[in-house]
Amino acid sequence: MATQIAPGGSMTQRGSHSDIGDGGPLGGHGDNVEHASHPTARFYVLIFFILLAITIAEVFVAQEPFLGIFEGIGVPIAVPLLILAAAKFLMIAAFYMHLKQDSRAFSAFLIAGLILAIGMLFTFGGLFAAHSREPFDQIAWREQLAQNAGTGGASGAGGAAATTGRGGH
Amino acid sequence: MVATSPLAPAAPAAPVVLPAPVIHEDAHAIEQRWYGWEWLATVDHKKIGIMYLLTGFAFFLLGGFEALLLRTQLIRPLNTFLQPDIFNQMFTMHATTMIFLAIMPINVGLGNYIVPLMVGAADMAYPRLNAFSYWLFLFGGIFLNLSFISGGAPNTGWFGYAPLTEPGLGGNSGVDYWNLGLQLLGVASIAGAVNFIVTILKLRAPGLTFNRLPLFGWMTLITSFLVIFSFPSITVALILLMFDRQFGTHFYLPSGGGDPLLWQHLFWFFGHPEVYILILPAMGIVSEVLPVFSRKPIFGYSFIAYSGVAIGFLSFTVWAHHMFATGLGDFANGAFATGSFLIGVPTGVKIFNWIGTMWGGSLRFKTAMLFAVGFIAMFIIGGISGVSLASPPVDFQQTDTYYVVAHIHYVLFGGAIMGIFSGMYYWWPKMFGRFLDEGLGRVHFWLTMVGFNLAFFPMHWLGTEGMPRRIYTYFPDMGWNFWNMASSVGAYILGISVMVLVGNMIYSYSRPRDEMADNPWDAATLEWATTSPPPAHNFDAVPVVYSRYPLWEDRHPVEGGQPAVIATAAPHTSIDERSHPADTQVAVGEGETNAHLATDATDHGEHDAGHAFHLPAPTIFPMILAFGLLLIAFALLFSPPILKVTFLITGVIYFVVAIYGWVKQISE
Amino acid sequence: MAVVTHSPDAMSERAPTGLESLDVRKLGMWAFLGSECVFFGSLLSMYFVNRPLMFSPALEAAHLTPKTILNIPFTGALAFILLCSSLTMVLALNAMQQSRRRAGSFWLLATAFLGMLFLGGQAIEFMEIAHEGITLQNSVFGQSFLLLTGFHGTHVFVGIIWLISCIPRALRGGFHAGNYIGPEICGLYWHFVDVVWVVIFTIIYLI
Repeated sequence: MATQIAPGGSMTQRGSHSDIGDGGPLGGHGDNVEHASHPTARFYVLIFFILLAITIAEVFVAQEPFLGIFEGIGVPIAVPLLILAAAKFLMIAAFYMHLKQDSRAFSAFLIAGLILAIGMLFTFGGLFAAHSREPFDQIAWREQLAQNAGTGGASGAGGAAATTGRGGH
Repeated sequence: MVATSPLAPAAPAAPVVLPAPVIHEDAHAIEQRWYGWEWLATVDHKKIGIMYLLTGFAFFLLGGFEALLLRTQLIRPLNTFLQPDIFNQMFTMHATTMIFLAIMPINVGLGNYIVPLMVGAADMAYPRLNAFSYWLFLFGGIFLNLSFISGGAPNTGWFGYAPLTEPGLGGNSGVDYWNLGLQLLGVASIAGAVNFIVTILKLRAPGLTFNRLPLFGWMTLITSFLVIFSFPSITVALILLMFDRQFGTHFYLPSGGGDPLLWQHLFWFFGHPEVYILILPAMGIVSEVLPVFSRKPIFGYSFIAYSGVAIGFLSFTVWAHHMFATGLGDFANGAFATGSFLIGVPTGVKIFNWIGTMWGGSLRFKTAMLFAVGFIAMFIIGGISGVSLASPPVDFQQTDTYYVVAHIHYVLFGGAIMGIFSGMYYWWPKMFGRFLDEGLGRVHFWLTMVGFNLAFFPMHWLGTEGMPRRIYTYFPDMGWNFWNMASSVGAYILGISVMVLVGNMIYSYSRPRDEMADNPWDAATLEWATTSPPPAHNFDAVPVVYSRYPLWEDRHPVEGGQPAVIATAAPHTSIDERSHPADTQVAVGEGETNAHLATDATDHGEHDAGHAFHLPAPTIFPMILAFGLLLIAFALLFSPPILKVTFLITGVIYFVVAIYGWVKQISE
Repeated sequence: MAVVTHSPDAMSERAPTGLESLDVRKLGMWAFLGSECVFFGSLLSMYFVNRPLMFSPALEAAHLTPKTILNIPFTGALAFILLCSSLTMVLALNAMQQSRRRAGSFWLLATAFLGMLFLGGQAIEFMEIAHEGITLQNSVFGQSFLLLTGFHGTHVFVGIIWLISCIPRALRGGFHAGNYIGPEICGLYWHFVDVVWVVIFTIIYLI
C-alpha cells in the first residue's frame, strides 16, 4: 500500500507546510521559540523587587494608618488589598510563568480556572450571606468542650461528638 | 535501543518497523489474548480502552443488579424483600456505581479507544498516565465495593448529604469507603481528562482543524474540561467530610459552627457539570452515528459543536437548581432557574440538528442507528421533565419525588446508556474485527425500549402523586401500587434486554474475525481508515485531512448548498487512495480557516531520526502507583493506628518506587 | 514499506530542540493548574463563608479573631520567603536554559531551601495558634485556617520533593539549552503554589 505523503513533502520539513496552513494559536511552534528578547536574570530580579514592594505595601495598607484612610473615604479595605494581590498574581503569572511569551492556550486554562474560582468565591459568599446561619457562640462552645474533655475524659476527636449531643452509636 | 521497563520480560519488547503486508497479516492473524503481561503493563490506548469498557460494563451489570433488587422491594407495598438499611445501601450503590463506575468509565473507554484514532494519532498524549488512570479506576471501584463485606455499603445516597454522613448520625462505616473511593476515582478522572485535552489539542493529524474535528472529539474535549474544573470541588467537599469524620472538625455540623449547605453547594458545584460529563460523550456518539446511517453529513456541525461549548460553560452556573428547596432565597432561586432554563436551549439546538441530519437522508436502521434514534426520543422526554424541574415553584412539588427519578433515568439511561449502546454497536467491528449480531441487536433494542419506558415513564405520575424518593416501602392505600408494579416489571424486562446484549457480545466474539470489517458501515472518519482492529501503531502512514469526512471526500458533491446524500462507496476505498482536488473546497467545509498544523509529539519511547516508529514500552509502574494510592486510602480508612501506619508506609513506598521507576523510564 | 512519513518528536530529551514536546507537557501542567485553581478556590470559598463566624462580637471581645491571633509581620516574612523562592526558581530555569548547570543546580537548591524555610515558619505559626487554644476540633477559625493553609503547605511540600529530585540530574548536566522541560514544568507548579499563597495571604491575613 502506498504510503501517503502530504503534498509538499515530508512532514518533518516544517517550513513547507503552507498548503496545510500554519500553526494557529495552539502549539504552532513559533509561539514557543525563545526569542532573542528572552528575559534576562536582571529582568527577573527587577520583577522581584516590584513584587516585594507590593507585598510591603500590602502589609502596610492592612495596618492602622492606611486602614483608617481607606475607611474614611468609604472604600472597604479589601479593595486596595485585592488590587495589590491581583497585581502580584498577574506579574508572577506573566513573567515568572512565562505566560506573556507563551501560547495563549496556557493562559486560557489559568483564566478559566480563575473565573470559576472567583465566581465560586463570590457566589458562595452571596449565597451564605443571604441565608442566615444560626448564631454560634464559639467561646461558650469551646469552654464546654474543654470542660467535657476534662471531666468526661473523652478523646480528642471523639470528645466533641459526645458533648455536642449528636447522639452516639 | 528501545526503552523497556526493567520489569518487562525479554520477549514482548516494543516492535520495530515491519513491512506493510506483514503488518496487515499480523493484525489479522494474531488473536488477542485476554490475559497476561501485555494487559497488566500496557500503555496502548486500545488495550486500555478495552479494559475500561469491560470493567465499566461489569460494574454496569452490578449496578443493574442493585437496581433490580430495589425494584423487587418496591414491586408491592409493605414488601419485606430488603431490610430498610439494605435498601438504603442499594440505592446509594446503584447510583454511585452507575455514575462513577459504569457510565464515566465506559465513556472514557470509548474515548480512549476511538479518539486517538479519530484524530489520526498513534496513541494518547500520555500513555503511561492513561494506564495509571485505568488502574486507579479499577482499584477505586474495588475499594468502594469492599464496603459490602466490611460493615456495609454506604447508605447515605450517592450525593452523601451532610449531616447524615457525619459520625453517629445514621451513616455507616461505608461512608468512609465512599469518601475515599470517590477521591481515588476523582484523581483517575482528572488525570484522564488532562490526557484527553492534550491529545485532542496537540495530536491531531495534519489538516485536522477544530472545524474538522469529529463531534465525538469535540464532546470528549468539552467533557474533559468539565472534569478538570468540576472534580476539585467534590474533592474539597470530600476532604472536609473526611476531616469531620476522622479528625473531629465541624465543617458541616451546625453544633460546631458548620453548615450542611456548604456540603451541598460544594457537591453540586461538581454534581451539575458531572451530569453533563455523563451525557456529552453520548451526544458525541450520536453525532457520529447519525451521519453514517443517514448517509449525510451532520446537519449544523458548528451549531452542535458550539452548543456543546455553551452547555459546558452554562453547566457551572446552575448547580443550585438541585437545592431549590433549601431556602436559598428568591433572588438565588431566580438566578439559578434562569440558567437552568437557558441550558435547555443548546440541547434543543442539538436535537433539531440531529433530526435535520436524518431529514432527507438515506436511512439504514442498523442497531447502532436504532439506539441513536431512541436516544433522541428518550432524551427529549428527559429534557422536557428537566425543564419543569428548572422552575422553582414546580420543583418545590417535584423535588425528592419519583418525578426526579424519572427525569434522571430518561436522560441517563434513555440518554447516556442508549448512546453508549449505539456506540458499542457502531464501533464494535472496529475494536474486535467482528460484528455484533444485528438480529440480537434488534431484540436488544426493542426490549430496551419497552422495558425502559415501562420502568420509568410511570415514575412521572408516581412522583407527581407524591411518592418520595428513597423510601424502602409505601402504604397500600397511597394509590401507587399499580405503577410501582408496572415499573418493576419494566425493570425486569430491561434486565432481560441487557442479558441479550451480553449474549450478543459473547456470541460475537465466539465467531471468527470478519475480513470485511475495516469500514463496514461506510463511515467517514479517520478511525475507519485503518484495519479492524488497528495495528499497534494505529496508522501505517499519518493521514492528512482535508475535510470533516475524510473517507467521503471522493464521493461528496463539491458545489455549495445543502450537502446531499452521498453515493455508496466503491468497495474498500482506503484513505490513501483518496483523490485530493487541488483546491480543498469540499462542501462540508463551511467557513474553514487556515488548517492547523497539529504536531505529533507523543510520549513514546525513544525515537531515532524519523524512520522507525517505536511504540511506548509497556510498564508496570502506572499500576504500582495506583496501587500505592489504594494503600494510602486504606491507611485513611482504618482507625487502629497500627493499621494506619502500616498501610501508610507501605503505600508511600509503592508510591515512591513507582514515581521513581516511571520518571526513570521517561528520561531513558 | 511502512515508513512513517512524519517525525513523531519524542517526549524524550533526545529531540533536538524539543519544542513540540515542550508544548505537550506544558499543556498538561497548565490543564492541571487550571483544575488546581478550582481546588484552592473551593477551599478559599469554604474559608470565606466561615469567616463571619470568626468575627462574632464575642470573639472580638475576647480578642480571638484572626486579626489578633495571627502575626502579620511574621507571615509577611513568610510571604517574602516564598516570593524569593519564586525568584530563585526562575533564575534556576534561566540558568539551565543557558546550560549553566552549576548555577542551575544552586538555584534549584536555594528554591527548595526557601520552601523548607516557609514550611518551617508555617509549622511555627501552627504551634503558636495551638498555644492560643485553637485546634482543628474546637474552632471554626482553626479548622478553616488549618485546612486551607495545610493543603497549601502540602502542595509546597510536594514541590520541594520535586525540586530536590531534579537536583541530581541538574548537577549531571541533564538539563540544558536543548532540554529544560522538567524544571520548567516544576517551575510552573512552584510559581502557582506561590501565587496561591499571594491570594491566601491577602484573604486570611489582611482582609
